[in-house]
Amino acid sequence: MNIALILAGGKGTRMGMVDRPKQFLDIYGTPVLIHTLEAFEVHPEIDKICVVCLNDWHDQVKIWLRQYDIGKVYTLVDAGADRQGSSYNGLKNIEENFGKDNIVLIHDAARPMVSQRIISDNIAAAREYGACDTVIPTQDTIIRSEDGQMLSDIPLRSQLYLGQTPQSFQLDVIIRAHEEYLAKQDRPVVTDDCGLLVQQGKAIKLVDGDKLNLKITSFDDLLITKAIIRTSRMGNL
Amino acid sequence: MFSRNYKIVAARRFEVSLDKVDTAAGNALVRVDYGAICKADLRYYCGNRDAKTLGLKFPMCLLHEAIGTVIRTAPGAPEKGSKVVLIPNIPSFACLKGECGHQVCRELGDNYCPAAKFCSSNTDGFSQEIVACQPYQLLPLPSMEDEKTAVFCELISIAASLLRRAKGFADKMKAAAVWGDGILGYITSCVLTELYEQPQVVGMNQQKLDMFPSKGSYTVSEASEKIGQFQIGFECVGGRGSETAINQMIDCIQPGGVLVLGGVSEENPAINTRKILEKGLTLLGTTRSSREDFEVAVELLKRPRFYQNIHALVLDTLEINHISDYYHAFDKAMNIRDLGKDVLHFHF
Repeated sequence: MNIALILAGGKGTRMGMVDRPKQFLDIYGTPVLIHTLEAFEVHPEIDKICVVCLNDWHDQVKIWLRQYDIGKVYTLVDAGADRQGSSYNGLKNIEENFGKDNIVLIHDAARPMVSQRIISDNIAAAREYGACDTVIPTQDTIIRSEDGQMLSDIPLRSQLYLGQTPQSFQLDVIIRAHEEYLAKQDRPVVTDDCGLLVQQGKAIKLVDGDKLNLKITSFDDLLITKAIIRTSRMGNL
Repeated sequence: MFSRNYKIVAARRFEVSLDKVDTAAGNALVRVDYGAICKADLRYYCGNRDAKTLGLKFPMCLLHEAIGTVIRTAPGAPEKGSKVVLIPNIPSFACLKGECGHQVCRELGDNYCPAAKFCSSNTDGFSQEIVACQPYQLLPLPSMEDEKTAVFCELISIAASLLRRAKGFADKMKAAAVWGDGILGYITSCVLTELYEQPQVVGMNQQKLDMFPSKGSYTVSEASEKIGQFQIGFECVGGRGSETAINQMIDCIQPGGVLVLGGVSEENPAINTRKILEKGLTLLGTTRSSREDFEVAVELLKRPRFYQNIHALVLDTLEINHISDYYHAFDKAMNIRDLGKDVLHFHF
């Protein structure tokens, strides 16, 4: 099976909003999380969806799932202390319910504009290579600074990409990576699931992302997302 | 849920647009797999319509020839996962319920209803990642060796509508002639061959005419002298050639015959009405097809000979991964001189 693991456990602190995390904000009448879930709901190759979110939000999410007729979500799982913890909780739940012989697509709830093509390409790459990461080439020159004050280095732009999600894996590959990481005494800083595999020297295939597959992290991102959609709506005048 | 769509915003200018999909209950959702470019799409792309018309149309998704996969069904729609042909006519609700006040809908079909919409003409076409459709717009496709052949369903339905328009003259169909060496002429000849008999065919290009199923093919310059008797003629020329074609048909057809005009022309062709009166001819006009014509198209594609004849129209498959590929497809379509079309394979 191909199972989507949607990470909706963030608290949205970077948005500066106190009443609700970013993934539950509303974009023209529909919560961001639901836009994201709908993309996976209608994808013919996705069989099940697991949503990880804060326990306080379970009831509200259940109401939305009924309201928007999202039928592939089989469970809501409690978020962990950080992204890694949330991801691991979801992965273990999938393993318990469906075994290890599955493909899992780990996706940020706050990326509602993921395309059907990106989902298809992730499934194909995970099946063939065991692990893949969705990326787009960087248009801007990336500057490295060690102290945040002075420029240390300008890496070669042609070798740099911006990471998006989904990140997709054969389930046993990513669970093993989590467990090896958790077993370490001195854990390096890792910010996402592909980072775990990189630390362990595993190969990860790159999948073409899309600039529109942006993540709503800040208030600016929300404005940009709404502006993109508002512009499109002008055609209906 | 959002859909990535390619919209024309000005002549020779497309933009990627992100639209919220209308997930209202009653709408089925379809992922567009394949599409093809029609001459009407090219007229918009080139800006070959008056400025006011273009101003009122843009921005708009083009393409009205497409097939796709149902990703969410609705009551009355094919089941999820079905391969379907997308029907570009969107009848009014009154028409669908048989309550429309316009008489023309009952006589000629819901596609003539003033309240009807047509994709890529007065509403968005199918250059969309996900299209929300009324169940009326979806017809399941039979399994076939190469599913993209079904992109031609819309054109087959037009040919079927030409024959339907003349259904009161079925006795004449076995003595038919087709003018036009383009795709519509070819498909009309194929449909006549399947449902009645091979027609005689007339066109500019003998090489193309040689591909037509026919019991005699003639170039325009020789047709007046050589063509055999026929009682019904189908004009599939359109554009600037309409005038010459229609007048030649009027000259050549048997008295009491029927001419069915199916070519679209913006040129106001001057035709010989005196001879129409002398010969007692009947002229019928038709354009857009109805769902029943698409049903004929789908049935015909189940016939191996017809399928092979239509499959021969697929010139190339263009992979559309990016909007630049979409531009390329339109630029290439403008220069196609062979009989057939490129099929666009969408990966939004």
